[in-house]
Amino acid sequence: MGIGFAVLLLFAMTFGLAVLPLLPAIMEWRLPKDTSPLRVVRESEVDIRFLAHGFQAYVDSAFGALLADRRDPPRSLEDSLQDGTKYVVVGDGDLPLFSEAEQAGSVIDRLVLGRGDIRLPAGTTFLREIYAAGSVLGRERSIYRAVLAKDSIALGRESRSLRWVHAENTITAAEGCRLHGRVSADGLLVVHDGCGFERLHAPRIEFRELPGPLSSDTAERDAPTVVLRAEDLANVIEEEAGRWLVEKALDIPANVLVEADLVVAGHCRIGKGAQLAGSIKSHGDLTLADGVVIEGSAVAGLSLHIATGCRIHGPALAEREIFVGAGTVVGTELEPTSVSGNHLYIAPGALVHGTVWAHVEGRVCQVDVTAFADSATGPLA
Amino acid sequence: MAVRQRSTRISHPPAAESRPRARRETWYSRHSRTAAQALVVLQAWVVLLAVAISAPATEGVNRRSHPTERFRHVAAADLGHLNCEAALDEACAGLAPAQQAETPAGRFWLVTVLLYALYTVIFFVCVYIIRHYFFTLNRLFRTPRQPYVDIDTAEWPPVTVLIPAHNEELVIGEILEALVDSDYPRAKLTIVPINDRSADETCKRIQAFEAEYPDVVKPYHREDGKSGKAAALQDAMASVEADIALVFDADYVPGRGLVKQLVAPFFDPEVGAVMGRVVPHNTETNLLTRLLDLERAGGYQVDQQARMNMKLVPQYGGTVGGVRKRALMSVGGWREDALAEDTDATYRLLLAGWKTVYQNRSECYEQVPDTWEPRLNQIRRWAIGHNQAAARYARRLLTSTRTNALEKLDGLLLLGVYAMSPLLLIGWMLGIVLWYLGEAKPGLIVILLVTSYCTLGNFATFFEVAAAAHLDGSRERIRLVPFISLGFLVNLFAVSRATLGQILPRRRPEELLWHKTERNHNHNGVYNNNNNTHVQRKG
Repeated sequence: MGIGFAVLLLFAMTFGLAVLPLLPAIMEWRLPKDTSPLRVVRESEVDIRFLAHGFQAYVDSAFGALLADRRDPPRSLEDSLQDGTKYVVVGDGDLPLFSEAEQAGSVIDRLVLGRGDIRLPAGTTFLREIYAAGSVLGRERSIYRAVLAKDSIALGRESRSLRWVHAENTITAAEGCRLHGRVSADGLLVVHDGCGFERLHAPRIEFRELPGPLSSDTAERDAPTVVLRAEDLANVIEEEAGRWLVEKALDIPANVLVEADLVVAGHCRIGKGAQLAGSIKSHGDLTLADGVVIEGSAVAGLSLHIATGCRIHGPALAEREIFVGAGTVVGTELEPTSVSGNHLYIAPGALVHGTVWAHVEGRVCQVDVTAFADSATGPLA
Repeated sequence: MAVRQRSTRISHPPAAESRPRARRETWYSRHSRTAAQALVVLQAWVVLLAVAISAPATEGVNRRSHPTERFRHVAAADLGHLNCEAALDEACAGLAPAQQAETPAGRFWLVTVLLYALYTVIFFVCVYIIRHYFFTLNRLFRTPRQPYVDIDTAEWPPVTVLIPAHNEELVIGEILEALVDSDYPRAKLTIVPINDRSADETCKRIQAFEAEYPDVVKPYHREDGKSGKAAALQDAMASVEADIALVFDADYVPGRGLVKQLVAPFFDPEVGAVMGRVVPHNTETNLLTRLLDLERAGGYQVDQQARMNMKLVPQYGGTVGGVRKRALMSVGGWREDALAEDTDATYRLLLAGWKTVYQNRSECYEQVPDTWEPRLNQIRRWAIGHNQAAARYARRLLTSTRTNALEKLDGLLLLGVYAMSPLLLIGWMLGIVLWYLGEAKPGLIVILLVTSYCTLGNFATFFEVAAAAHLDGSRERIRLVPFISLGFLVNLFAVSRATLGQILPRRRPEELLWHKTERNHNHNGVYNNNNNTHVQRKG
């Protein structure tokens, strides 16, 4: 081996060693495999009905003709699609016929499609979606992957929904249901005591203890006559652009009217019957005593405690928990809104118009508000 | 408030930030967490190793820095026996007395000053290393904070969308079409394209939309006044009736739900500005656009969201965002002499106690520069504007009573981010000068090289960009990360040049004009043959 060749070899090897770590980069540059732009959500995939609408489109395309054919409907029709998806079509008001194996295992691995109303058996797990051109009447302790009804849906006690449930009229979840994923109704959504949930949406969401009408007082109230001024409070450090900036904690006395937005650096408590014409943000806990009215939104950096009989017109947000007492109304029929937090605890008797979203866990349960009812009644500063 | 009734905890899937896209299971996806941790440990070792190397080297050079000591060292090496003191003394005796005791006071002070300058550079570089890692690790291991993203139902307030446009015939139609298709309640939405003395067909295209959607599209035509985006916004803002104004550059195409997403944070009365995420659309063009895509991912998915998570200072970026009108007006409106009116607004709002919110899910496509010249112009423009804001607000931020300590620290670091490039160049020059002065500490230079490599050229940026690509669910594009070094070098010199230009006296004052990125096609790939858009800059 000549000295020239050795030097060349040394250079080549050095170059190779230097370039070796860059090989994947060079390969991807010269022979690109991943050049498409990042997919941006351009349509409203966050729309709670997105999945239901997608399934409706699928049903219309794959089973539209079959479901519309009412000339001589059989009691129950079984078949499978070309892709192997098994389904059963049920006549109006009938119980679907399941095989002995399915009945024995209480597991149905078929799409269930109803030409009208469907009655479903108790204690059964439905691994595929259920669709009804009428209503779905479920019984206790059943598990549903997804349910779509053109009319109403009733989920029996201690049932579970795994992905989504949507009805064009009313949904009723009996005691002890676990509603994972999305549950939406175009009319009324009733969630009974002991239910767990993640994301609910309806023009009217009633949280009830017992079957029967909700007794929430939704009448408009007169505004308090005593108007609180910024100089009445010790911690207000700025009053500008319609906003009071408050350092540290703030206690707003009972039965006063505040005509500004409030931003509080610490915890904040609003006394009984007080009314806030704007919105409020508290970096700590935000506590509303009985009968507080907020015309705007209520935002808490930590927890949001809402006692009984409160009214919040705008969104109610907290980065940790939200407790909602009985008789509280969030949003209105004409102006629905959102309630969002990591954990939501809502007392039976509360009413929400719009969306309720628990990131981790939501539950309908008794909420003790007595510890907060009298804590914010101090005199004017 | 206590919960009386206990019930079984619902097992939910973890709240995932990653978008709902199909992701193939790969080794990387399975072991990304472990890999990230290993990477951090590896990088910590590299820095420690550099420090370890530097210590003995520094000590040795200190001892050898005196001419006599240096001679002794060389002679000892020649003689082959370091301990032969007698022979060394004999050899050193040959040196002139002047050479033996030559340490003039001036030189001592010069070296001391240069050394401390170098220490300062290294200190700042280390601070930015720590910052990078804090942000990246926060994004990898903490749940993203997005308190307003769930507001999908509300009584939406009136909103005005401002679109500053100067010779934007190619793209103005796309954004107007996208906005009129928005799912925001039509009665609450006003779209105001600001036609600022366009010499092309921009005006006609806007008028066509105005004729078709007279209730929504209400253009604002500027024929005089100061030039530039900030001036155009300030003028148009006077006619805005809504309290919330969103701003989009003309070459952006918002999705249907984007307006709602950007308005949602304003339900929080503390929020003064909102920023969404910018996503490059023309990634398939060439290597530059792909690198810019990675860079943007790092900047938004990691930097901005980490600031949001840690309640620091997310930055309003001038497009795909919005401001609360009464908040902005209470701090003086859009500042017409600001080259980076977005950064300027961010800091003025911050100083007045208004927060800027970043919404990572509020994504919008943009066209990134696909040639180097507009890219360099863009980065220079950003650097100048940012430095301008730094000069104006750094001291005020330090003494502000409306911001907490963490916001002050992050705000200052954000203001200083473009000062790091010239600082790094100065550090490198200091190292070379000290070396040739014979008083150099190679250990220090090693530290500087390693830290600058870790901070700006390589590890931290790699780590940040790779983390962003991972969070986005990208796969193969992550392999391009080593090429980011190329962009770093280009940025280093472009930013340093721009900063130098700000410091040096100018022959004539700079005139503010429209600064925009040159483009010759729109999102649908329609090209402009007689391209009359160009970056204007005087002064």
